Amino acid sequence: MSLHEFCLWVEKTDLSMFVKSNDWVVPTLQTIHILCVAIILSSILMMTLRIIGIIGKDESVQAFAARFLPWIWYTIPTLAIGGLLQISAEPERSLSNKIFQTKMVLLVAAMAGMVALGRKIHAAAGEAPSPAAGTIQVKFIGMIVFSLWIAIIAAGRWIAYAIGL
Amino acid sequence: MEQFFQWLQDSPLGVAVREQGNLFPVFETIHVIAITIAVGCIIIMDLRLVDLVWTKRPVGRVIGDALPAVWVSFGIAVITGVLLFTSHAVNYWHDAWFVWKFVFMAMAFVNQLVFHALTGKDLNHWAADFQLPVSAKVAGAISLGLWVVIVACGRMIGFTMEV
Repeated sequence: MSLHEFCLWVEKTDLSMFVKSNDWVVPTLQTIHILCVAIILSSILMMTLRIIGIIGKDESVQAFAARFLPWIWYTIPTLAIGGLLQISAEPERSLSNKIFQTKMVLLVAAMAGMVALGRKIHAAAGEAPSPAAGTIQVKFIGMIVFSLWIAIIAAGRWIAYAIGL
Repeated sequence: MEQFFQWLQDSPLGVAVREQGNLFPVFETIHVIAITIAVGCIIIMDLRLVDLVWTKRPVGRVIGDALPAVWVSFGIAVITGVLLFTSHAVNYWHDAWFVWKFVFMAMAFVNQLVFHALTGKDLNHWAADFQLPVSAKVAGAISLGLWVVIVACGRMIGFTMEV
């Protein structure tokens, strides 16, 4: 089955019909999607600012990570479900769109980065608790993950401007 | 008002944002990134204020962590928002969701002002285990609700505005 055939099949499902034929569904899904991204990006920002040593120096990097990392992992399933529902309405528009494909690659990279970030911060706690700032490695990963999420949002917005790409 | 918006729309700036290559999508993308940071950081403060999460860190500290990021990103959102507005000022003005978005933002702003002026006057002295006054929790809940609605209104503009 080619991607095109798969898209044609998805378009005929009841789910796709439901999302397409009710005007309120897509804007509602997109609003939830944006709110989820807001929670993730601001959580990453708070952690990165703490790791660099700009905010919350009275608390450890580990405490910041313990506060914000779980929120990111709770939010991602909601993002994924909302994203899949939006795709079901117009599969061809997204799945065969180069910007969408780039966005998915960036997303995988960001998730790998967040796993690495969590592990490094956890490991650093055992070696030497550093109240002032994170290690160079942790700072680097934090900034990379934050930049990846900025790129993910930009790509997400750009899918609509790159139809047929 | 209408005349001013028409003038704005016809100004070189309005024409440029409307017609020049990728200007509109670029400003829109920056607007979305700024909004996600601003709203996300507001959600962080509000969730602490309603006393649901992160209760081990004092309210004043959580606000101190997140508020600077809100002001910076909100400033960027306002600048890019104005630029986007110039492209179709009259059409935006005629869109009900656009107008409601600003009504709700004004309400959120008043809510914040009242909280900081009255309930939260001495919030920097609130310890982590300080029993938050009901008015503080209510202010947090109102803010949370309003900002969700503001994002929804903003998203609706793209579906309803007639160009």
